[in-house]
Amino acid sequence: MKVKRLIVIVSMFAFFVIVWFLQGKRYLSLPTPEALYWLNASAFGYNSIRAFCLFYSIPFIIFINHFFLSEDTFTIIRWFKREVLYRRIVIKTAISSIIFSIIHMLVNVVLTFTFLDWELILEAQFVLISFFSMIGLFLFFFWVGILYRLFYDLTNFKGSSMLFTCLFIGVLYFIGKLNVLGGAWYPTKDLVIFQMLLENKWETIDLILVYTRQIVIVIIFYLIASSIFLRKDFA
Amino acid sequence: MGEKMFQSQIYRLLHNNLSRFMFILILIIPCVEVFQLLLMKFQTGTDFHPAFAFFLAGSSRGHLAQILLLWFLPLFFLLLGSDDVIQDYRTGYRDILISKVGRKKYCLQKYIVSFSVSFITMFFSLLVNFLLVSVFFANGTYTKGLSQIELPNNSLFTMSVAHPYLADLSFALIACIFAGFAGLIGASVSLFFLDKKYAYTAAFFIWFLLVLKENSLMFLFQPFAEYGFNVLIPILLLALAVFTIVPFIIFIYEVRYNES
Repeated sequence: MKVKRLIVIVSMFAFFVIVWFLQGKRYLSLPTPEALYWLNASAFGYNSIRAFCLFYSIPFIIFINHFFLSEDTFTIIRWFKREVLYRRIVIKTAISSIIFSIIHMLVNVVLTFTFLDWELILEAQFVLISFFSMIGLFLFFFWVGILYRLFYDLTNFKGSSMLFTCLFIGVLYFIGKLNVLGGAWYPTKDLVIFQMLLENKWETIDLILVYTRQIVIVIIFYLIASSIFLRKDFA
Repeated sequence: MGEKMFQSQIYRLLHNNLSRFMFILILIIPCVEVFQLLLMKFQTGTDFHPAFAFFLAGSSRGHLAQILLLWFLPLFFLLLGSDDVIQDYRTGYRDILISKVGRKKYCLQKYIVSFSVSFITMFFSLLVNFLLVSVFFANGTYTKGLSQIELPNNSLFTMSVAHPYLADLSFALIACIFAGFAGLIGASVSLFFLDKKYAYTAAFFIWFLLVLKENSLMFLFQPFAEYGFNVLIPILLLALAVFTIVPFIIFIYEVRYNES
């Protein structure tokens, strides 16, 4: 399992590096401040909402599936209560989303430092912003993971739940993009942390609000998914 | 035996609830765009020319339906029935079939069925979309201003705008063929891994990396875009190479070297 996990992590690194180059290649020749902005803008690119929702959601689910051993039906009787099993599943989801967002951040930081001017990057507090963005991303992927588990418990099939989660997130993304709700808030709107902090548009309170909202979404999905899990028929 | 094999697989597909659901889903997603365009028609009065309202032309804002369907195409077809091989393996039916008809026929049959089922599904999906747009936008004339643009160096664009229905037809044909290939890739990686976890991962990444490329696979499906033959031909050749070589190598491996 150690070797397999290593392989999974290395392939995720490779995937992110490929995405970073494919998305950022054309901006690398720009002067550093502009390049930094375009590489991390929220509309297109490696750190965009589009990338978070459409590029990374399926790889993230693949990552959860491969990073832990798949459970068999008999795991249900290993613990005293079903709640314990569900808590373990949620913890696994949390761990995978932490690792996934850390890999995402590391690739961005390392490649940015390799190709752009160090002093200007440090001046823009790039590393700190990456860290804050990483926490937001962790919360986002955490509820995506719980959502995936919810669909899995409903359909009992990993393939379809993968697709449904992706479609769900995709529809959320387009609700935002097509401005269906006017200016109202929607869950994926919070993924703009990077751009907002880079442009100095946000205060600390905005960041805390974003984290709080994402935590609330995690809790809501946790409650819904746990009630479905507890009623699930393990046959 | 050969015919019976086809019949049994088609019968299974037709009576599987998940396959039915996926078929309907693939049929519905392009209709979402018709709805979007109709909404636009009533709100802003933009009455599209039917050929430009077609699903592949991508006239709606944001390309919601196109992204949701075309970016993840192999997953749709794997769920529709390309991963049937794995079910055969789990139930042991694979061994029975192989001992009766041989590996070669078995693999070939799986390839043919998943290619044709995916092709036909995409064909129906696009056909339904085309019929809907022809009804709803029968008298439309709006072409996004494309008919006024002249790109003398781009013969594909000039031809497409001069004969919009022909352009739709040829791009739809390419889309159907590549949908077939998406199914084929699904079937071949399923044959190779015999495990859903790995098969889905492999099929997804093969397709998605081609989509993410700067000269994306998606350009091949979009008529009336600014890309000429000089952009599209290399994409076409690369995609064709990937989608034929991977199944071919897996076929050779399964037939010649796999002794399990």
